[in-house]
Amino acid sequence: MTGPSRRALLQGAAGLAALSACSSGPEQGSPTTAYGVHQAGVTTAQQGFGNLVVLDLHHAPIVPVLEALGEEIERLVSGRAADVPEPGDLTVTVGVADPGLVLPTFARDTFGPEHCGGDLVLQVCGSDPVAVLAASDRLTRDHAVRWSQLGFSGAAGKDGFGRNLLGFHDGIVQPRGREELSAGVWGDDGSTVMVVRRIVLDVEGFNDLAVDQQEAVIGRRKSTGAPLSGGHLTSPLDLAAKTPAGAYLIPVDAHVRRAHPLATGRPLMLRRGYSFAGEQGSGLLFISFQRDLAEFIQTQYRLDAGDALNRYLRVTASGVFRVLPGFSASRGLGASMNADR
Amino acid sequence: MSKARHVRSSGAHIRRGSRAGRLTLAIAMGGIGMLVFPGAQQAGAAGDDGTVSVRVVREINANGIWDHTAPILEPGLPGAVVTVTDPQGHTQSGPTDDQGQLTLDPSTSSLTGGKYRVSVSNPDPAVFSPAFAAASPTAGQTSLSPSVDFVDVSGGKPASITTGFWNPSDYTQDNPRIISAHQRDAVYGVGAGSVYTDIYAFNRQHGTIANSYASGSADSGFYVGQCLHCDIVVTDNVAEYNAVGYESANSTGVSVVRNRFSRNRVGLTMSSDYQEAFAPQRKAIVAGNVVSDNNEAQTPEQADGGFGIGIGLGGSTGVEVLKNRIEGNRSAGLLVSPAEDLAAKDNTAKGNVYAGNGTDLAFWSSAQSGGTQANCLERPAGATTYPRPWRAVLGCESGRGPLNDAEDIAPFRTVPGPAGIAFLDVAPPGLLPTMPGDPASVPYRRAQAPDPIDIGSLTVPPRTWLAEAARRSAR
Ligand code: HEM
Repeated sequence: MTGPSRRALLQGAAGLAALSACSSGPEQGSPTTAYGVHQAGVTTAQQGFGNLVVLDLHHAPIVPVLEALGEEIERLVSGRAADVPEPGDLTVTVGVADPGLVLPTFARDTFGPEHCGGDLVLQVCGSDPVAVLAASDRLTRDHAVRWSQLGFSGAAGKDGFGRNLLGFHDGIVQPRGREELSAGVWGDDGSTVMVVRRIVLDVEGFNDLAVDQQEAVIGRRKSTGAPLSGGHLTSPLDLAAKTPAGAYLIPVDAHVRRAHPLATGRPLMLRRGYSFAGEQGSGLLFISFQRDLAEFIQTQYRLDAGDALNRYLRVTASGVFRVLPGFSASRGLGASMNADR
Repeated sequence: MSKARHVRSSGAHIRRGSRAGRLTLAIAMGGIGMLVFPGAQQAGAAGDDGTVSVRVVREINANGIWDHTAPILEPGLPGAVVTVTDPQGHTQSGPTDDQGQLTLDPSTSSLTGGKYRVSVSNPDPAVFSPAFAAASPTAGQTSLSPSVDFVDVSGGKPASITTGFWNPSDYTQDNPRIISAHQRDAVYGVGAGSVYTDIYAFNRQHGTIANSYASGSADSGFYVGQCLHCDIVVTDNVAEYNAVGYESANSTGVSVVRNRFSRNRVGLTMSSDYQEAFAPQRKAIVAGNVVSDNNEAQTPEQADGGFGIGIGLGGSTGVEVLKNRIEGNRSAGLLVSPAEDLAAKDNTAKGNVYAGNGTDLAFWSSAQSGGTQANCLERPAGATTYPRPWRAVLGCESGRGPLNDAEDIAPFRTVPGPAGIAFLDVAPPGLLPTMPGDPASVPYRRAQAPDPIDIGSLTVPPRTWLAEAARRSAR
């Protein structure tokens, strides 16, 4: 999936201005700072690689761990750590388990206890996979890894969007601008809720479908990304559009219809996942950020109840974490945990 | 059954289109009488004219009155362009100021005659609609004029007009009586391209939809939705050969009585839908209707796949289904289910007659919506149910507390519907009774609160109820 700000960068200054107000992220490729109102790696232009690492702390007190991580992260992204001399646009996003955040069991969940839960999550992203892995190693050296997954994103095409392993544009419909981000993504304290789902796709089975059948599953054209209700890539979906015989132009079980926020009465989540391939199968390391976990849960229920994509996927790891508010040299990463918990 | 979407938030991403473009009688009626030009007037010396003062306000509560004392303060709307036109077509115009006010002096212009048309342009048609005038303002109140009105400033008399625009998402508005009690109106295959709903009252209050006929809709024949305290009665209508005969979404206070919803794909639904404001669907009465044989293939399809359903309640609260004849619906006679995270609760079904339905009474609940909630769905002797052990799930004898809270009953599977036919190909109805007298002479009246319904005296209608208006094949 392509982050919102990449599109903004490609589409010009208006989008950029809207984002810079909310984003502590860098422009692609340039060195960054970890400091800001929010952590980096959420509204940051999506980099080419992302490594997700879930850690167990085994009852170690969390605040000192977070303080140390925060300091290390700032050293890493600013290029002051010996292990990663050229971090490029590296970002690290830290989330913590929160007893108030619980995912129900969903229809396509097929993981054991070792692939959910965990005390901490690190999302390490960058354009240079070597820097991403080196930084991940540096940060997890003293901790037990519960599960992890390295992912990559499809290169942006001429239209500014990358494709996922099904060959479809991804990351088109996203919350953008201050208003949508504060409605759907950022909590009042600058934190956000992160859901991660490792979704293995039956890419071969999907590719056995004729292209128009694939398009009916997703609800968009494979070539252009335009919704089946018409227009072009960025046209809004017209969920009510019907044929004269009464059938929806975007089929009743199309992924984009089932996932559309209108039907849940909740705002739109920000999706920032990575494709993966390897021993674990291949698929989408789905990552979403939302102000309220219900945005994800209600959407996932709707997908369970009728998403045509269900036939081609199963979920092999899952987690939900609170991404702590941004931090600074004087107010460390663990500060909010001290204050409120 | 998902309906389209109305503007509720400005979130640019969650695009709620408007229902504009759907031909709706309600809206068409609301505009009647506003644009008539009152004949050419005797020319008079322009220099004699008084001033025309216009105040444009933002109507909030849709009562047709400019409320400018606490607690309701309806502010002025700046930048609305006011145009004064004389019978020869000369004009004078200007925008309202920060307070929403403008005073024009025709005596300094080329206007002649002293009697002028005053029109106020909508400052933002995407947001505002013209406000309706109050039926009967009391002394001291300023009733809102229509956005096109007429003034007489001859002989130096000044005139002042207060008009308003309202945003439907601020409040619902009064609704005129849609079809007069004597008219049997054939609304059939209206327009071309995209007909969804034939007779359609969206965001309206206080009115009656009566003695009307709807057929060939790809959505619902009759629709009442997104209204709080709707105070709308739908009675003595026939809907056949539609995807859905009658539909309500997110309405509170609608009574659907003594209609015939037969030979559609789905007879009647009352559902909650987050795509429109005011979810969930609340209090409604569905009584004394014939809801039969809703398995019709010769209609547009119900886009969400509905077929063979008599009455469907989706995520609704407090709907009473009383004394209906519910027969021959191949999936289910009455189907009660959750909608998203909204459970069906406090709904009642009593005194209905069921026969020949795939399943007479069907109910399911979901963990997503918090499990099974209290509903009093009476099962007459011999009626079939889903799930089979009806008593264990729901029953009126158990009172109102939540029943088996954790229960999560697998969704009821309806019979799959055949492919639909284009709405233009739906066969036309036979000759329908028309309104006695000259319909054009019927005066336009403002909203009338509907007459109260005496449910107690209703009886289950005979199978042939209103069948004379139905197509021969559907009687
Ligand atoms: C492997 C699994 C998945 C694949 C391959 C996939 C793919 C896609 C694609 C191609 C689009 C259309 C392009 C776009 O708008 O970005 C899309 C849209 C979307 N997806 Fe997924 N997705 C998957 C899983 C999920 C999950 C688990 C969720 C959340 C529970 C989700 C939520 C959404 C949302 C909210 C949209 C935007 C819908 C709209 O148009 O309003 N997706 N997805």
